Amino acid sequence: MTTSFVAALANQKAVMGALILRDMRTRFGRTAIGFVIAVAWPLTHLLAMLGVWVALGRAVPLGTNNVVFFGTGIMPYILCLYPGRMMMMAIQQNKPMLLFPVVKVIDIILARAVLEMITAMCVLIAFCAILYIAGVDFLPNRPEIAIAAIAVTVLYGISVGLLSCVILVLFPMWVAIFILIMIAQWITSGALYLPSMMPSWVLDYIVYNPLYHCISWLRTAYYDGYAEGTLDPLYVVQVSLFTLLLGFAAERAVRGKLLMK
Amino acid sequence: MIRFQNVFKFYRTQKTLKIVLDHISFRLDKGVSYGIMGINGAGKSTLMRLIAGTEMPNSGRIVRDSRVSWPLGFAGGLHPALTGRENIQFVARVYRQDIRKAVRFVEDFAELGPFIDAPFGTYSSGMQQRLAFGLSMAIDFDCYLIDEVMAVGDSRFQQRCRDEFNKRKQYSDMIMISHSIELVQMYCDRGIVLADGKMYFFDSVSDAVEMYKQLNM
Repeated sequence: MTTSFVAALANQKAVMGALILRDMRTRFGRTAIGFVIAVAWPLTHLLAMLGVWVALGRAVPLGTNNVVFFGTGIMPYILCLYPGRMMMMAIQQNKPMLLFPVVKVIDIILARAVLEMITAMCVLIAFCAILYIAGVDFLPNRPEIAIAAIAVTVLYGISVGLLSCVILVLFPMWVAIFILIMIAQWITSGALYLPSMMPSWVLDYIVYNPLYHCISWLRTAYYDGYAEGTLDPLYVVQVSLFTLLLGFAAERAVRGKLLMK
Repeated sequence: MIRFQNVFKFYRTQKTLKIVLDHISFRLDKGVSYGIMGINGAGKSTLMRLIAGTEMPNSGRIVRDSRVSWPLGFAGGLHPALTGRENIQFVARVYRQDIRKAVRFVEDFAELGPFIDAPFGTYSSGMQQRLAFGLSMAIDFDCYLIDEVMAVGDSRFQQRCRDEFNKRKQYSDMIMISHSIELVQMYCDRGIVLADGKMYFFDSVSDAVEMYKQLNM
């Protein structure tokens, strides 16, 4: 029993390793810089949005550094949107590999999740490096909070993406709905404004948005007491774990259909 | 060994419901090669995919404790944008084979020359088949699945395929779908006839052939 379990684990590792390599090579066509594009795309999106908001020269609602305020709002959105979207495409883009009996749907999903975590980490590092070179002080007062907040944000994006990739195979319309949900979350996340300045009845709805908590939690690493009273990091963790569970259950339930389509 | 437990499999065509296996249980033993026969549309290829595990039954369980190949010569899982070499490396990695050995074997067997480093999508269909066939032979499967195609290429290359396959047959089993009675008789120990959602097992291939001939009348 134990030996077969160890063998199964070794098999899983081999399959995932091979899938990750293949995914890196083929996602953006056959180019050596495929993975560079995977990192550069969200990074460009992030820098462009940040650049526009900083260039507009708006007075920041909090603190003195507008790069920090807008940066801590836009970055979680990007680090949730991109992993989510890429996860969503996982099965669709890697379908032919399922023709190898040894490759299972779950391998494809997990391989891409690992790859998305690596990609997100690269985006984060590149973003910080660029700001450092540009001479912007982007270091948080409490780095451990910042790291935890970003990790949970990526986890949330991956969990939503996992559920989405199963739904997508069954309902191709899902792409549009997914994007709408993401936009709604973005607008109500408080990335560009202070949610506490909203009327309390609006805030009552905003607290249901997981992205709001991702951003607020990250901001507490920079601003003491940010979103005090409404911030609940545990809520994002709960939503993510529940969504992951739902995604895995959905995969199991419709595995036969996923293989057929 | 491959075990089917109360397996039910159907698929829908335009208007009708086609039942391939109607709650069937059976066992395919290690060390035995099986020939599966049945008239067109009986669901032989679906049965093959169930055995391989690339398709799932509607109900019931399929348990395998040996490594089953994909249908021999089948190239569907190979990526057109990756080179032949990269495709071989991928499959070798997935099946935990010595990567260099696998590449060298296929390179030598499929006679692709410099094309080994060209994208798979640019290959002629003959080259694609040769690579796919070589790849099946480069992995040590316990059981090879053969869906009609036993050899590819020109007659000289087909002979190579058969020679290589005969070598392989000493340690591996095979499950073969064929309309060719001679091939089944040459390679298989036992026969199975698939008809109307049921499977008929025969200890001798000739008995299976006899039933198959009846069905065809």
